[in-house]
Amino acid sequence: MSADDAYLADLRRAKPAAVERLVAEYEGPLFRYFLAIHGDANTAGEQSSESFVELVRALPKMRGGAEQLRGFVYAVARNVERRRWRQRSSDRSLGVAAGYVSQLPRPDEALEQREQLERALSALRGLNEATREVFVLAFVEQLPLAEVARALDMPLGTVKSRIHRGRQELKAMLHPDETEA
Amino acid sequence: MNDDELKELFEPLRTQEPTGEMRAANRDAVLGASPVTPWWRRTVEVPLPVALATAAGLVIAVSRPTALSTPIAPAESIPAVAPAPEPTPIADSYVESRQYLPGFGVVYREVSYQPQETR
Repeated sequence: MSADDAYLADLRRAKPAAVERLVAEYEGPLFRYFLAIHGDANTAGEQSSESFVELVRALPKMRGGAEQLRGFVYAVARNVERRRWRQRSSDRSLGVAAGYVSQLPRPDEALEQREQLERALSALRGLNEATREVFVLAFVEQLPLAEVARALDMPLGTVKSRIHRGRQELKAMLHPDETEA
Repeated sequence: MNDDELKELFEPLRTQEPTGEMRAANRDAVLGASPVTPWWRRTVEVPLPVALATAAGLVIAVSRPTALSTPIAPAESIPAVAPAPEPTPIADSYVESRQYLPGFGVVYREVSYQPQETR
């Protein structure tokens, strides 16, 4: 049994050391995933905790080996986000995203950082939900496209087409003059 | 937009990390969580020697049922309650046999009660 398989076996039994490793590995990526999807940091934190609880409960039912773990983690995260999405309107989240940006440190040296973050969140908000999550995994978490496809349980061709479409949408959004020309 | 422009655009998002409170909340949350397994799919860990000994005991108990069978009571004559006019008294045969499984108890019990003429 490889080290990864042993880790997965321990995770399925909810052994504390394995669960701690899972949390340490994925709390950053999950927080950024949720933050990038809706822009609300507090909700992103709560959703991360919710995702870990669901993961611990659902891991015994996970099919496949250790190579499927990342996809399983994002599948759980997507379910958590879908639940939130059903409960709230996306318009309300936009307002919360602006609220999060305004909560960031306000010293002059942080001003540029805040503006850049606001620009990134706004750009993502301009994409539809399906394209947005592809962009989050491909360009925020920088996963290889094959892994994005596996994580989102969609064909590689669909991932590529969404990235192509998203590029055009972002270009039109951020560089309207070049697009018109 | 090329990959470099996109990476630059999303760089500020890439550096976002959960706060210390959020990290602590994640750990608190998983502490209370446990895998949900239906009771019929739950397993227990048994040391191999114990499992082998139990299995061997079970095999022996099942394969040699007659060795454990114990006739309990010998046939006893039942005294007549009242003097009967019958000329031939009746003695009954009462036999009980039991099979035991080590650590479990009686798994099989058979009682036979047969009236017999003693003459």
